Amino acid sequence: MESRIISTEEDFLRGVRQDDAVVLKRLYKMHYPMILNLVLNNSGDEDEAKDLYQEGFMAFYEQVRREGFQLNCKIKTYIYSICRRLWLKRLGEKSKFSKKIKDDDDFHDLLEDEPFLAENEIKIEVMNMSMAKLGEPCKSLIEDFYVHHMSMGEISDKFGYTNAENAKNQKYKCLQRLKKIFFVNYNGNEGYDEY
Amino acid sequence: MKDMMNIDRNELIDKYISGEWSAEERELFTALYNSDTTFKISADQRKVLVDALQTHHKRKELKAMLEGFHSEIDNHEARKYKTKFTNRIIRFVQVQKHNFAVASSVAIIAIASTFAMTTKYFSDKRMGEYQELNQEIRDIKGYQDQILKSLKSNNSNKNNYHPGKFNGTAFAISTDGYLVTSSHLIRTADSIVIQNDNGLRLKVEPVYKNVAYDLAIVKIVDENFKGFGKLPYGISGKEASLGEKIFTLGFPRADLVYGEGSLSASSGYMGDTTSYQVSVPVNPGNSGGPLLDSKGNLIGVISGKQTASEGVAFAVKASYIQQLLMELPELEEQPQWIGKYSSVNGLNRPQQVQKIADFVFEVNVYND
Repeated sequence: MESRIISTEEDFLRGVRQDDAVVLKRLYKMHYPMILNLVLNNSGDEDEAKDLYQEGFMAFYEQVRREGFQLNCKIKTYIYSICRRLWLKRLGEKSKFSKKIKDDDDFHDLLEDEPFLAENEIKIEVMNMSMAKLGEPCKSLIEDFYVHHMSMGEISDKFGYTNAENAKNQKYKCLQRLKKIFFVNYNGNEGYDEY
Repeated sequence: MKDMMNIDRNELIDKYISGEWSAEERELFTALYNSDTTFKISADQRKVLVDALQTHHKRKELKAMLEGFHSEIDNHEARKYKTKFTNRIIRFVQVQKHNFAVASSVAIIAIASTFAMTTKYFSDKRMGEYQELNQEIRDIKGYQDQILKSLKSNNSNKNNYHPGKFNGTAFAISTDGYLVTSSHLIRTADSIVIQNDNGLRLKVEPVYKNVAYDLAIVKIVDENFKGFGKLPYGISGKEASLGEKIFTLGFPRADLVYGEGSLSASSGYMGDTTSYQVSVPVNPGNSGGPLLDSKGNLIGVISGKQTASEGVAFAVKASYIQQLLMELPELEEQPQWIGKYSSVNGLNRPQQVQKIADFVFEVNVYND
């Protein structure tokens, strides 16, 4: 068992920025009861609470790691506020009524963060959809290059292209397809053609 | 510079995105970016696309990790989540049960929420006001000096002075550096330092507090701290009896002060069942001090006094310390918490005090 003292808000934030699994786990377990309470009190069930919390926790993670982000309240309050915002949206999708939330905890208005949160949500939703549409081998090829940072030579070997130049052309075509699918849904135009 | 027409612009954008490029490539990229609108848009769009792709991938990994964390959560425990607000209502309902046996619960909740919103309502003269025993020192002269100084210098940084300083008492609750104090002392805490009668001065940080019990746990974060020895007092968790002889140690001023008396009532201010009423002389600064019986068992924590009458003080019952320890968020270490038995049972009082004094600290809270 790791014996490390994480007791200040700054310790926690630093841990999130450094992708420290010990810190993330402690934060996750610490604040789940609060969100479970929020969802159960506002016409949701345990499964919805888990789903909401994970979604909110990921948004929290991305916010903290965003360049220029500044936390203006307690971590607990921030996590609550992000989940509360998401739950309001989900309640709105479920029904036209009951848009009022019964709060047991303090929350922070997210006015400053709203543009980032909204943009991030759209980006992720559109990318999920785009990657599902893209299909293989393009999906793996693109991920290998842009996420796993494999070289064209490695990619060529993996996919059985005759040489790296062929792999590069294939990657280019795949990227063009992904770009089209993504930008049509992201902001309604197909984007410029690549060189 | 290379011929601009012969370079692979597509690859150049990938290099910009990965950040792995030479100074020459960077220069070339900047030149194109600033002169060719199509290139600029293309680069910007790819940046958005790759960012989204990386976030998408990161989420997949994160989701798998969160699922792992979630499997360790006990849903039954998680449902016990109580907020400050609900805690307060439950506590008040318990208090009221003794007073009005036949009151309807609806009425009680109505009263409870009124109580929560306006404590003024209850502070009538007959009851006497409840006073928390933190000591606020305002060094007016020092404060004025600070203002004069900041007026003289152009650099008037507000963070440089500490107009308020709150004092109270804390005592060890584990052998490895956890202490108990009153939560009202550290509600606005910025920087907390503790000091015992031997002059040992240590920096602490808040770990957890529950305002409903007016208790907080703080931890020593000073690297010079190597741990306490075995704690001389124990915690039995049993309710103490009326008339029992009791004593406390605290820091109403810079020196450790001993006070003794007896347990006057098994409920505190306005019938609050989480507290005892005690006849111990207490003053601002005593808050957070340990209340012990003649055997050296910890029976409570000094929390406040009634302003209207002398000799009426209150202490949160020790069973709420145990409650607090159970509520603690998961710690990465396993602290050696206080044991059940006192090791100063049978010693005379000066000997007991001498042994316990090392574990009682003055709390200095500095806030901006």
